[in-house]
Amino acid sequence: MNPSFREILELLNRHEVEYIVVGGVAAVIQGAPVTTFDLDALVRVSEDNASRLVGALEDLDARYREHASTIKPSKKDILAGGHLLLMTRAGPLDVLGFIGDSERYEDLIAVSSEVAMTIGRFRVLDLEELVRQKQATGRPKDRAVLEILEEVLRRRHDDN
Amino acid sequence: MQDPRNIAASSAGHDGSLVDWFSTLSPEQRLAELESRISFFYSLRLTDESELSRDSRTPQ
Repeated sequence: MNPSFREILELLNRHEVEYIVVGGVAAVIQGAPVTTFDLDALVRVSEDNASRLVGALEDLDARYREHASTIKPSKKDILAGGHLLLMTRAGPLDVLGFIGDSERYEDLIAVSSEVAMTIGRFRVLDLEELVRQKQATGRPKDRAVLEILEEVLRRRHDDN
Repeated sequence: MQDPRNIAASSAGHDGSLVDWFSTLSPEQRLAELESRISFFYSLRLTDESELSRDSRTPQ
């Protein structure tokens, strides 16, 4: 499989899903040369958005990753507001109802920015917030990534 | 074997030029570069779907 995060993002956009790219892919877009294998999308948990998201996930042939599941995510699953770890035909996708300390889409939209690509426009968590999120977790696996994020942030400040 | 997730990070930790180079790319080019890197890892079978299934971490 050749994962294509751009294909996933394009389909989310086509279905007008409200989401913020967070996690490793957000770090990459913000300029951090780190590696991640899945796309983390913090979604607005609402009736309308869940309906749009179900359509996008259908087009992506999304299934739960656990045990090579054949089970499709439902609107009810999305409205539960938790984490859905999915495999799509374009690669792994984590649909998140919250991140960090129970922070939801509405809480973080102010610390995200719109990014324009050929596939469309979408929101990405700001670098400063990515750093804050990583600092808050304190997990060993995040330390190397945090080091890079802080370096990118430092250089960005130096340039301004 | 080193976790492939940390290769880029650890490389940049020792050599800031990787960060400098990455900053010259557009956001879309950065995403394309990541996809290219992942495809490489998949081709080496350094990761697979079963590994991702076990990865039930909190993303942040």
